[in-house]
Amino acid sequence: MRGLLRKELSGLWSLYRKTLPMIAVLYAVLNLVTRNDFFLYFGVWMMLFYSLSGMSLDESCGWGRYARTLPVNDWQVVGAKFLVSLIYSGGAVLYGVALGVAQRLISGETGYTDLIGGLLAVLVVSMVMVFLMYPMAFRFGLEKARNGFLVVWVAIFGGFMLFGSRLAEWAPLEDVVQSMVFHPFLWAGGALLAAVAVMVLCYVTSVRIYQKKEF
Amino acid sequence: MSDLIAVQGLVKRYKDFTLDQVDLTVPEGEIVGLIGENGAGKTTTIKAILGVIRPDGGRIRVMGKDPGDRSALEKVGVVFEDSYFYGGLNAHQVDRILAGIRRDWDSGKFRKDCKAFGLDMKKPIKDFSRGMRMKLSLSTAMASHPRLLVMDEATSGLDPVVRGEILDLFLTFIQDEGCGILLSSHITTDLERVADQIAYIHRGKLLFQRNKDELLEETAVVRGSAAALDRLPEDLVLVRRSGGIGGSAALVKDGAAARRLLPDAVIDRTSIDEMMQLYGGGEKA
Repeated sequence: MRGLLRKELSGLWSLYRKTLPMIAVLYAVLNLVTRNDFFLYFGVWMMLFYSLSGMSLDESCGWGRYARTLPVNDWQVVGAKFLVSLIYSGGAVLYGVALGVAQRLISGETGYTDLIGGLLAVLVVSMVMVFLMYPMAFRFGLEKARNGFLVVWVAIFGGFMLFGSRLAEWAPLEDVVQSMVFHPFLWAGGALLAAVAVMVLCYVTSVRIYQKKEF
Repeated sequence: MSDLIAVQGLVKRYKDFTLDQVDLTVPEGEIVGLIGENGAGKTTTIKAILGVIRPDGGRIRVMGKDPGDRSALEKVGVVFEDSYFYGGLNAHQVDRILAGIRRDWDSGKFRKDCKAFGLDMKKPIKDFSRGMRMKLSLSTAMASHPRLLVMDEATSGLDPVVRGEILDLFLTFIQDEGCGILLSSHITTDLERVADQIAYIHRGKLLFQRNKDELLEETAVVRGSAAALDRLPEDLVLVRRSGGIGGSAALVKDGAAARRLLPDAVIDRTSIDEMMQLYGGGEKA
């Protein structure tokens, strides 16, 4: 497993070693100048999607076929991918917290709850998006999975745009929003647990798909 | 002497191709050359042996174990046609990666082999020539001290000097009697040089697996008119080609017997290449 994880991290680092430091500096500057946490949130989303690139690296060099000839099992091969996504997202959240706190200390602002809540919310949504993409990527390849996912999200956002106003007037939803305002961490924790459940489900599904795959 | 690979009745069906009842063995201490035309089923056979694809029928044992059992592959070194590591990585990173995967990984041996092959450990794989990538693949296959090497077209596309180095490596490897090699190749001269046995796959069927020296000594090509070739008994003829630019010819099991029957005919020693050409364009197999 150690070797598989090393392979994933080395591959991604060789792919993004120029981009990542540049983005880290750019987002830090933008965050400090604009005092807007958007770039920190966006960083979490972006890092999770970057972690998916390991799939396309594998596809480009025929790693899957070689991996079958190694003394590792399918749970480990797929597990390394999920673990890398967790490491990338964890790193991005820590980076966001450090930068957000630094920006607040420098500017004398507060709003730490907003920062943590925002990062957690983005983490949850991004985790769900990326982990749902893994089974699709194992089944159809990363390119098709990305395109398919894009269509799904366009449909979801399209639905919100079309029916969002009606949804906002829906009484039970107003109660939910109120509850979120009064108990943000409870909701954030629950959402995080749900994301972890999605991750586990997607992991098991991905392994099942991978086991049936022939290279 | 036991078999490192034992394949019995292997069947794999695709929409447009079927690997049909293939029997193949790789005994300890021997190099088995797997030959066949493009699309004959060599790679499919190798993939099934390594557990990369699931057979539809038959039985495969790799060092006595089912290839689905990954522990069977601990002592197997594999080389495919091209590198399988992302091109942005270098040999140093490959070393660290495989050290974390293979229990018997010997970094010292890997580095020594890379150095002997003249590979720069820090150079990205994508900047290697095809020959260098193949040398890297071989170094990775050898670094876990395998008992069995399985190679699919490992020497194709390489210049004669590099091929010669790689073939020498095989001969050194096989000096340990407990080891064996399964090597598929289009370059039949390579197999004539190193293989102990030849297995020939033609259109998804294994036509034969025989000792190479016996095969090349006993079989022969008889050239002559169609009428003369008609005088050869059916059980002596393996395959026959009528007409064409080279005239009529027949591949026979026993050159000496054919000479006794047709003393005036031209009877030549055969080569693996010619055997493949005759089977590929022949009338009877």
